[in-house]
This record gives sequence, C-alpha cells and structure tokens, in this order.
Amino acid sequence: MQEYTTLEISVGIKERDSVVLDFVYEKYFYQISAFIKKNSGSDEDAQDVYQDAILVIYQKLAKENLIIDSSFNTYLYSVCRLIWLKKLEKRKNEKTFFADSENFINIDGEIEDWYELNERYQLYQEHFKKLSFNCQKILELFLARIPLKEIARILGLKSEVYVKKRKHNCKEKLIENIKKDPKFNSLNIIGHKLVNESFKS
Amino acid sequence: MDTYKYIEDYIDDDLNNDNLKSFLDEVKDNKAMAEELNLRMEINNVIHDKGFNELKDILEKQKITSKQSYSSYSIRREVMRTWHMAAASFALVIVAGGLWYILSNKPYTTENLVGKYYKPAKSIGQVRSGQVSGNETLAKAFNFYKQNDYNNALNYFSSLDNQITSKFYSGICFIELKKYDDAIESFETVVNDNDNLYVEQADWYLGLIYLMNNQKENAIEKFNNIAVSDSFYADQAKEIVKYIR
Repeated sequence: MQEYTTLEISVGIKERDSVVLDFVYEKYFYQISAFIKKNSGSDEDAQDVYQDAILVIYQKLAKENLIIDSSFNTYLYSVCRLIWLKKLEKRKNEKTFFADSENFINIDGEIEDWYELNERYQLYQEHFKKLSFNCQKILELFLARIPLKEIARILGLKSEVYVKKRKHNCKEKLIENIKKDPKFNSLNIIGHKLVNESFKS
Repeated sequence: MDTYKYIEDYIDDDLNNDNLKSFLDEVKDNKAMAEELNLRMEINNVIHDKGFNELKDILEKQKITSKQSYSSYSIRREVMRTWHMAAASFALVIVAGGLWYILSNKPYTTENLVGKYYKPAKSIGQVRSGQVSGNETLAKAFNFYKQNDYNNALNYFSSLDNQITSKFYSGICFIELKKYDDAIESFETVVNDNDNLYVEQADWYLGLIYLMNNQKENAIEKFNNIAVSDSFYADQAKEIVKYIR
C-alpha cells in the first residue's frame, strides 16, 4: 500500500480522492474502531464517528484552509474523540470513564460547530435525495445560477415563470419534509456562526 | 405577504430596495424569521455544495464495502473454524435443497420475481453524432449508462426530454436509482406515445415497477393485459401472473 504524508492526505481529502480516502480508511479506521468500542460504542458507532470526522476535516480543509501540523493519525483520532464525547453526551451516557487508546491533541472548539452543521447537512441531503429527479435538478440548476430560460430548455419546461413556480414548490416540499422529520427538532439550527452569512442563490 | 416567499425572495435577490430594507429590519427583531432564513440558507448551501455531497457518497460506499468484506471475512472464519461446521453446512445445504424442491411450486415473493424477470435494457450499440440534433448528447448519455452511472446518464437523457429513446432509457435509470414514480412517468410517456419501438418494453417495465413498488394489484392488471396481447412479453407475463397469485 502506498504511503501518504499528512499534507498529501489533506489534499486528497479536500479533493475527494477516493484512493487517498481508501488509504486513510485502511490505515486508521481500526484504531478509531478500537477506541470507540473501548468506550461503550459499537461497530456501527465507529463507522459513523469516522465518517463524521472525515466530513468535519473536509469542511475545515475546504472552508478554513486548515493546515494539520500534527500527524494525520493524531489529528483524526482527536477529532473522532471529540465527536464521540459529543455523541455520548447526547445519549446522556452515565459512564464517566473515558479510556484513550492513542495520543490526542486539543483542537479548537469549532470542530463541534462543524460537526453540528454536518449533522444538519446530512439531514437536508437525505431529504433532498428523496425529491423527484426533476425537483432535484431544478433546485441544483437554480442555485448554480443557470438562467431560468436555460433551465426551462434543459428540463423541457414550458416557460421561465413555470420554472420559478416549480422551484418554489420543490423548495417548500423539501423544507416541509425536513421539518416533519423527528431528527429535525434535535438539531441546533439557531444562530449558527458557521452558516455563510450571505449565501444567496 | 407570505413570510416564506418574502424570505425566499430575499435569498434569491428578488426584493427591491425598499422591501430589502424592511426585510433586514424585520429579521433583526424577529427570531422565528431569522431561524427560518438560517434554515433556508443552510439548505441552499447543502444543495449547492457538490463537494460535501460527493464526499458523503464516497464515504457511504466505503462503509458498505467494508461491512461486506468484514461480513464475508467473518463467514469464512466461522466456516473454517472446525470440520464439524463444514459437515453441518453440507447437511444444511442438503436439507435446504430438499426444502427448496418441495416449496418450488409455491408462489414467488415479489423480490424473487423482480430478480427473475427484471434486467435493465441494453444500450443502443452506436449513436452516430453530428447527423441528428441531440445525438452527441445521446451518445454521452449511453456512455454513462453502459458504465452503470445512472445519475450522469440521466443528466444527458433528461436534456433530450422530448425524444422517446431518451425517455425510455431515463425510465431504466430511474428504476436503477429506485425512483419508481419518476420511472412510471417516463414509461407512461413512451406507452402513451404509442408510435415507437419501445412501447412493449416500456409496458413490461411498468408491470415490473409495480411489483418493485409493492403495487401488486396494478402489476397483475398490467401483466394480464400483456398476456392477452401479441406483445413479445406475453408468455413471460402469463408466467409472472401465475407466480404472483
């Protein structure tokens, strides 16, 4: 198996390089799994925590130009550790003993913010994927700033006004489904500092 | 004004200066409105953030693959543990085989039927580009289709929405992506057109989708109709109806 440096791994994650991602999984997952299982978790928990950690690291690399100045192993372990603590806290786990299996570093508090944001992102994405193909396309194209006329042509819709109406209906349907999801109420939506302050389509 | 529309107009930059100012003033003091705005902007971010969505898909596939390889490893380890286990497995196979033989005349489950009869249509061998408008797009669509990349194939098929060929193959892509309502819509367009080479196939796939979607009554009705027609699928439809009952 080819080895990668921390920098190469960082670039690989940022660019969603599946070879690098496979390498990271092969090389480091078992340590995360051992740690989670040692601390009241299951295989499934380990998979979830690992996935959440990679997503958080991706967000920090892509949006904050994170530079990892420890070994990747230590950084990944530290992120997973923080996420697992957070999950245990949510489950109100009474168990106070927390056994570390690796060295860890204290990382900034924004990891928790990114983790919470990613939880919401995953819920939104889950419901977005359940929309009809046309609804998904219309929202994607609209947010990619494709002119309404062009959207109408691509999707074979009759007019720009109709595109706008369909976009409105699709978005409202998506929001309705998200709000109806029982997981929605447990997510912290209010006043999140990581939300792009001015994201507008 | 409808609050949700008001917020969406703000996000879409559709408010004039006066409305924009009053919107910003209102959102400052109205917590519920600020939360709604936040939610809607986050949702837009997620739809727009291809990188996040792509990475999530890669990680999901990784998770599934690792589970499969772990479970096959576990099975191998268990089976290899002792010769007793091997002998027991052999005996089990004999018993299961006998049971299968006894039960083989019973109706199939819908899953078994779908597995037995459903196959995605083969792509068209060659699409010549440059002669007919849209053929280049169709060729690209079939390239993705052949690689089982149904999402990308759909991007191209759907841009040729008015062509029956693309409609038919969109239907197959939707089946593969388990978007059955969209698949039904595509195949119904093909069947209703009634003047193309795909009508019989589209009709047959409609029956299979009903099965996949647990709409047994619709499936029986569809296959009964096919069975009494001169469709290429008439014999298979007769068989399938026999098994469903």
